[in-house]
Amino acid sequence: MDPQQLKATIAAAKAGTDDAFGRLLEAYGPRLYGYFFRATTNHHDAEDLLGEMTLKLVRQLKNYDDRGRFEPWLFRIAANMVRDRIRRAKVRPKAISLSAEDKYGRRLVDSFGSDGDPVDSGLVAQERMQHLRRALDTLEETTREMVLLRYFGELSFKELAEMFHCPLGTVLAKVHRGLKAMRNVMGESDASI
Amino acid sequence: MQVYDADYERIGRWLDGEAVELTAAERAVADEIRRDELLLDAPIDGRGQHEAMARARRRLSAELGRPRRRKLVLAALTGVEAAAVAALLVMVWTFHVVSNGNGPPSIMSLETFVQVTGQTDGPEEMDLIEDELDRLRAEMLVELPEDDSDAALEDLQEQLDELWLDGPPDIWAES
Repeated sequence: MDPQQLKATIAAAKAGTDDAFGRLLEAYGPRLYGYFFRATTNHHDAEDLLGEMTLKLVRQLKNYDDRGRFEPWLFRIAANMVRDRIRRAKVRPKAISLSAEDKYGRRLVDSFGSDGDPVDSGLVAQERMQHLRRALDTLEETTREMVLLRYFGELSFKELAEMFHCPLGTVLAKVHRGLKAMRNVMGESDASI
Repeated sequence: MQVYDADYERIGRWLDGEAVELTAAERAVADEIRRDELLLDAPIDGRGQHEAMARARRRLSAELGRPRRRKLVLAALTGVEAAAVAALLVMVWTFHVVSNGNGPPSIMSLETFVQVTGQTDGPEEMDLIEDELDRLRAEMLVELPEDDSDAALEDLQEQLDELWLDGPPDIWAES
C-alpha cells in the first residue's frame, strides 16, 4: 500500500468504514503474523497474537496520530504484545505432556507431522526454528526486539532509531553485534548435529 | 576492523536504501550484515499463516459487527441501571467461560465492575464500563477455542442485543 493509499485508508477506518479495517488487515496481517511467528516460534501463539492485534487495531486506531509513521506505530504495539507474552510465559512456565490436549482439545502428540507434510520436512523446519529461537534467546532484550522488528517487521533502521529513541548508528551497532552472536550460536548448533 | 557509531550511521542509511557513498571498510561491514541476515531466513508455514489470517478476519468482522447503538443506550442509562447492566454482563460472561470450560473471569474484571457498580453516575464511569466490556470481549476472543469462538461470540452478541433491545429487566427495578 503506497503512502497516499495508506493515509486514505487510515482516515476511512477512523471515520468508521469497516472495509478500511479489512484493507489494513490484508496489507499488514501477513507481516504481523510473520513477526509474531518468528518472535514466538509457535504458530498458535502467533495466531492468538494476530487476533489480539486485530482487535487492538480497531480499538486503538483512534489514538494514532497520523504523521506518516503507521508501521512503527503498529509494530510498536506488536512488540509490546510479544514482550508481554514472553514475560508472562517466563513467570508461568508450563510443563507439557505430549499426551496432554491443547486448548482446542487436540492431543499435542498428534500435532507433529500433521498437515499432510512429509515428517522430514516438518522436522527440518522445526529444527531450524529451534536454532533460531536459541540464537534469539541469547540476545539482550532490546537487541532481540531490534533484530525481530528489522527483519520480520521490515522496519528501516531509521524507524527503529525513532522507536527506540537512540541514534541510528547505535541501532545498527546493536543489530550487527546481535547478528554476529547469533551466527556463533547457530554455527555451534549446526556443528553439534 | 574498528567501526564507530558514525560509520554505522552511514552504513544504516545505506542499508535503508539512501544514496550514501560507503568506504571499502564500511561496505565490508554492510556485506557482513547482509550475509548474517540470511541466518534469519526461517521458513514460515504458509498454511499456518492462512489459518491465522482467516481467524483474524473473523475476529475483525465480529468486532466491527457490534451494534453501535450500544454506546448510545449505555450513555442514556442512569447509575443504578448501568450497575445492573454491568452485573448482568458479568453473569453472561461467567456463564460463557464456565460453559466453555475456560476457567473463571479475571479477578481484575470483577474488581473493576465492583468499583464501577458502587459509584456509577457520570460519563467517565460509563466509559469505564464500556472499556471493560471491550476488554472482556477481547479476552473472550483470545481465550475461546478457535472452532467454537464464532458460535460463542454470536451467542454472546445475541444475548447482549436482547439485553439492549428488551429494556431494563426486572432486576433493575429491584436495585
